[in-house]
Amino acid sequence: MENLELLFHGFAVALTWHNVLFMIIGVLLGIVVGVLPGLGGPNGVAILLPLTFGMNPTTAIILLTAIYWGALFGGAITAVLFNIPGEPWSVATTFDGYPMAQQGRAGEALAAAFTASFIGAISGVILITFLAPMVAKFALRFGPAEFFAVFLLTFCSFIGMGKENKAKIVASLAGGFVLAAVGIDTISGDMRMTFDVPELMNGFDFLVLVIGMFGISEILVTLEEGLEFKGKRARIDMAVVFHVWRQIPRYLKTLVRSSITGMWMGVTPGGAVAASFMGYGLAQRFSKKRDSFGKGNIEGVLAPESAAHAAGTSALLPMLALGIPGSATAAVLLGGLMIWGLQPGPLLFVEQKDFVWGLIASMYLGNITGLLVVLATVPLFAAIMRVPFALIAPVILMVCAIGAFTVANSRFDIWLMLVFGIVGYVLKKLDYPLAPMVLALVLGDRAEDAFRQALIGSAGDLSVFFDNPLVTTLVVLSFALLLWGPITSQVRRLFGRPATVTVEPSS
Amino acid sequence: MAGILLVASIFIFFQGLRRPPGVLVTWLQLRRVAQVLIPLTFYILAIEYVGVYVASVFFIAGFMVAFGSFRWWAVLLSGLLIPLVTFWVFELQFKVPLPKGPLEAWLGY
Repeated sequence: MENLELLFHGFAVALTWHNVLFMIIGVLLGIVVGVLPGLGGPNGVAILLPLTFGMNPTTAIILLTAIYWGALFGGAITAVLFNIPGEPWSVATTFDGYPMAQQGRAGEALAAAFTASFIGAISGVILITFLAPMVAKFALRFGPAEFFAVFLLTFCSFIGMGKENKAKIVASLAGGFVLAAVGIDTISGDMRMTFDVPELMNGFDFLVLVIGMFGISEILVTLEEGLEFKGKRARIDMAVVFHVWRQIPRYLKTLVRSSITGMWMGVTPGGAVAASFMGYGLAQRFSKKRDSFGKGNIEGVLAPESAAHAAGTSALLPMLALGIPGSATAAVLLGGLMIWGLQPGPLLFVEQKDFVWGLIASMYLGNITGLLVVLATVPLFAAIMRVPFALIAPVILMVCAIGAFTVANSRFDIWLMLVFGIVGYVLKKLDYPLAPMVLALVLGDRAEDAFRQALIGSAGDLSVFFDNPLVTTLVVLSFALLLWGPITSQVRRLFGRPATVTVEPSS
Repeated sequence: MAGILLVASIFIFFQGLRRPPGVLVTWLQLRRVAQVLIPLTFYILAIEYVGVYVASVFFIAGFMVAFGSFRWWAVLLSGLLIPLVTFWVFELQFKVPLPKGPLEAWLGY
C-alpha cells in the first residue's frame, strides 16, 4: 500500500521532539479552551493562528489540530462534572454524564467519555487515511464547474442536514456570503460594498468574525445566567480506567454505530453537535435498558462522545481533500493553510506530501497524547472551573482582543470583533446557527470565483453545470440534500410512523 | 456577479416573513450583558490610547472589584501579573507587536 508507506513517512515527520512538544502544548491549551465557557475550538484556533504565521506549516498545523483535539476532550470534563457543556457538542454528554457524577461515578463517566472520544476520533482518522487520498485523486480532474458544484453540495447539505430551523441556516449562510463579498473583487478588481471606507478594502477577516461571534457572544450568553459553578469532584486513577476499559467490549456495537454516524455527519457537514445527538438517540433506541438513559447509563456517555469526535475528525477530510471544511474549526484551519501559502484541495496531496501525511500521522499521535494527557490532568482542569468568573471573564476578553488585533495588526479589527460579538449574541438569542456564516465567509469568495470562472469558460451559459455526468451528479445530489429534510418528514408522515424523539440542542 | 447576492437577499427577505414572534431577553439578562459590554467598549477605547497592557491592568482589576469578592492583594496581583505574562509571551517570546502606549515607550519597548 502506497498510502501506508506515506503514512509511516508522516510519522517520521510528526515524531520529531519539536513537533511532539508542540502537540502536548496544543492539547493542554485545547483542554483549557474546551473547559472554559466562551472559548471553544473555533476561536481557540483562531486566536492562536496569527501566532503561527512564522512557524513551519507542519509544526503550526500540528499545534492547531492538537488544540482541536484538546477542545474536543475538554468539553466532556465540564459536561460531566458541572453539567455545563464546555462545547456545544458535549450537550448530549451531560444527559447521562452528570447523573453518573451525582451518583459518585464521575471518574467512571470521564474515563468512558475520553475513551469513547478516542475511539471516535481514531475511526475518523482511519477514514481520512484511506479515503482522503482517493477523494483527492478523484478531485484532481475537477474544473471550476465541478468545484462550484462541490461548494453547492456543501452549502446544500448544511441546510439539508442541519438540525436548526432551515430558513435560519439559509439566512446565516446568506449573511456570510454578503460579508464575504465586501472588499476588492478578486476577478475584476472592483471595490464592492466598501462605501469608501479604507478599512473595508481588504474585506472582513473570518478570524475576527470567529473570535467575535464564538468568543465574545459566548461570554455574553454565559454571563446572562450570572455564573455560579457547582462542580462534582472527580478522581481518576488507573483502577477506574481499567474498570471502564473492561466494560468497553460490551458496548462495542454502540461505539461502532456512533462512530459511523459521526463519520457520516462529519464528512457531509452535519457537524459534531448534530452527530452527538444522533449518536445518543440511536444508542437509546437500540438499547435494551432504554429507561436507564438520562439516569446515568454509561452507554449514554459513550455514544455521543464517540459520535462527536468521529464527526469532528472526519470534518477534516473534505477540508484536506477538497478544500471544503466540514465544520467551523475546520474552516478556521483551512484559512490557516491559505495564509501559510498552502492551497488546500486535491493538489495538496501531490505537491505537499510531507505536510499532508505529517498532519495525518499527527492526528493519530495527537489523539493518543490527548487521551493520556486528559486522563492525567482532569483534577487540574476541574480546578480551573473553580476560579471565579470575575477573574476568568476579563482574561478571556483580553485574549480575544489580542487575538483579533494580531490577525492583521489592525486596531479596527478589535472594534469589528466587538460588533461581531454583539451581532453574534443577538443571532444566538434568535437561534440562528453561526457555523454556516463562518463557512460562507470562508468559502464564499472561492465558491463565487469557481462559479464565475466556470461561466467565463462557457461564455455565460449555465448549461456548463450539466455538461458532463460528474458535475450533473453533484448538482443533482446538492438539490437532493437540500430537500432531504422536507422529503423525509413527508415520507414519515405518509407512512404514519410516530415522530422520532428529537432532542434539540439548548445552546 | 450580483446574482449570488440577489439570491441571498431574497432568502433573507423570505426569512423575515417566516420569523415567529417571541420574547427575546429579559431586562435582567440585558443588564448583565450590558455590564460586560460597556466596560469592554471602554477597554477597547483605552487600547487605542494607552496600549493593550496598561488597559488590561485596569480592565482585569476593575472587573474583579466590580463583580467578584476578592481581597485587595489578589486584585492587585492578578491585575498586574496577567498583563505582564501576556507581555512576556507575545512581545518577548513570539515577537508579536501589540498596541502599546506611552508607558511602554517610556520603558524603552
